Amino acid sequence: MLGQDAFSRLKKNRWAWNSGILLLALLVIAFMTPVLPLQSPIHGDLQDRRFESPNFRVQRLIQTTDLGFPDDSLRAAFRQYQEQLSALDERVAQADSNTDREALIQERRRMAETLNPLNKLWHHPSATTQLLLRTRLLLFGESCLPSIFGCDDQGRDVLARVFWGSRVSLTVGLVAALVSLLIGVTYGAVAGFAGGWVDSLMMRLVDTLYSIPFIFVVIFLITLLDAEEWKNTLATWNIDRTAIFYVMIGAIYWLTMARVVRGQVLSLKTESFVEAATAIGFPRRRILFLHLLPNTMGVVLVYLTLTIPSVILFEAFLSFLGMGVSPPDVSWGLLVNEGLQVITPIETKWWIAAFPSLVMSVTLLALNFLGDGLRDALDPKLKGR
Amino acid sequence: MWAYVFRRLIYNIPVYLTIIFVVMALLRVNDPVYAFLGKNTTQEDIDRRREEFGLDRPFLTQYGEFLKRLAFFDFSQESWSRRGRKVSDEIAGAVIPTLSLTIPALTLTSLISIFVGMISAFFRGRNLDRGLVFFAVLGMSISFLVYIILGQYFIAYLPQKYFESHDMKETWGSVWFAIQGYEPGLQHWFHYIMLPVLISVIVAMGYDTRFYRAVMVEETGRDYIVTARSKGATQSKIMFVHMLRNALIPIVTRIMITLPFLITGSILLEMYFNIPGMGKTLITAINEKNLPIIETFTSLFAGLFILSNILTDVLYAIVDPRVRLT
Repeated sequence: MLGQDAFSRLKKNRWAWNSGILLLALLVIAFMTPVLPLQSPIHGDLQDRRFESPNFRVQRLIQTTDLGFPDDSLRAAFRQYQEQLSALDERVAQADSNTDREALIQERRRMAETLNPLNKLWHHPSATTQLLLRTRLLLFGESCLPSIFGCDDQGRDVLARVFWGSRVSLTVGLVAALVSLLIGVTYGAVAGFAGGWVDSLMMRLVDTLYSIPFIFVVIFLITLLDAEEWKNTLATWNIDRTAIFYVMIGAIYWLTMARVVRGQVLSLKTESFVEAATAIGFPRRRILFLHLLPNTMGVVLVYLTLTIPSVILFEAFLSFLGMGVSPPDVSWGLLVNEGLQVITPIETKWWIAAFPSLVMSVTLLALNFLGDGLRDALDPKLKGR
Repeated sequence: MWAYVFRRLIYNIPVYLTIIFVVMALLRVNDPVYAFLGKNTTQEDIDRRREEFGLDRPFLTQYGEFLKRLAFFDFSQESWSRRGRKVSDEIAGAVIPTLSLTIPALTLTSLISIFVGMISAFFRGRNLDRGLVFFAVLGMSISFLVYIILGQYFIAYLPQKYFESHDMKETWGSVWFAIQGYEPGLQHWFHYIMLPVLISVIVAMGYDTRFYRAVMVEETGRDYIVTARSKGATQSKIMFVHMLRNALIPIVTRIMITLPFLITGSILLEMYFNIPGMGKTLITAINEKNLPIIETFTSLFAGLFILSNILTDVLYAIVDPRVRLT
């Protein structure tokens, strides 16, 4: 994908290289967020900590008594929950008839959903996330980092929300970019390789899709999919709004990718290595996917790093319209928006908007630098352009 | 050329019909009348409204009628949420605010970024260029929401507060940038629209400057520049006459691509600054499930996109005689 010489050129470009390292670190941190000693991103102290300005007081994970945990301790609550579960498991094992067992298993599933104390502090953590959260409890107990980014209008820690938001924002960017990669590369490669009327037909379709104001289509589809019936249907397949979001944005951004790849394939098609492969008698499909496509990957990679920032910005835009990630899930776009909504009135709670937008901007800047650096590295002739 | 335009138009008619078909079909997947009226309505009510809106007829009949209206530019359907108001009234009311925002914004953005891009290309590789490129990338990486809030706070809110506390509300306060809002009339233009224009220029500058710089750098390597230089043309003449003229194609394309947005408007700015333009009207209609407006606006926008695509190709041929329209 990235030849050795290109790689060393990239390494020499200080800005791009450091941006790459920063982004890698960011990805790791985003993945490890549940293990870090952060406060809960969705549970805050509505009484005492609304709009608390940045400070260095160490916090406990559980701040209010309204969660109904024994001793107000997550550990005790978790122990109690596990005892309840194992008691139920025993009853399942001792159940006489199959129908009884079925009923008990149903109840166990319901219990795991409603009683799990982790669900009160984090929004529907997946199995992996739950495992990471339990690791965190083992490592750090219930002490948390201070609210160095302050608290928002519901007394929630902004630092924790920025970290959890990074998971959503980066996933949206990556998944949408990958979806666009998958569709765009296949489509463009097939069109460019086939040539003739197939090519012109396929490219006419791309032109057509270009002429649709996509922003409205997206807004419109999101409102459509928000309707009750659709939500329920999708929920049975375990698809939520965020998942739709990924696919939909990817489905928009593939158009440019298809054009780029087609152009590359068209120019590579006449190279002698393709002729050689044809002479050896390789099937066309093999030539396309094993010989031509790997050669386009450099350009694709550049385009990919430049797609991710625009996807993240698009997500922020949809969040502004209230059509992005739905609370209590958090994303950077949502956080910036929340901050802006609070900042407009007379008092300035600058920290709520400032920190998320700072983190977001730094990430986007790094992505842009990396994209530029990759482009220069892959094509040294372009250097300085 | 006219034959070409005509042919392109003919080609695009089936495309346009398909787009409208898909949009109308999608809008009817969920019962739009039910969505509009909400959950607390009786079945009779829904049936009555459906008949009134003409949605009880077969889909193809509705499609045909919609096309007929579109062909004659007859937008006299009634808006669902505001009784008595026609779709054409909504369009007429929204076009002016949008255009008064987007035309100055596009003009300013293009002029400034072409100029900055040229300067940057001229000083390529030197510190000035590096600084400009850095700022362009930085500008691209900051969310427009941040610009909006900074602009609103520092350029509009703080000065307005100052005027208020110094008894200058009547004189300065009504001229200087408002935090948000809109009033028709040229005398209010600066007060309400200038700040959104400025923000939109800053948002678009990062990308555009880089684009125009790349275009100009491409041109500096060409032979005709060497020729011009060797025959003794001044640097400024090379830049502004020779280079700019040859770079016109990409510049024209770039501007034309953004042309449909003149009408669709900057949704975000209109929403945030509370300007009743096309974008805001459409978003409101989507939120209210106001079907006639959604349908008409989307079809108009799609038509504009197609037309501007054709116009781009024609302009190619005008600015560059080498391009043949076939």
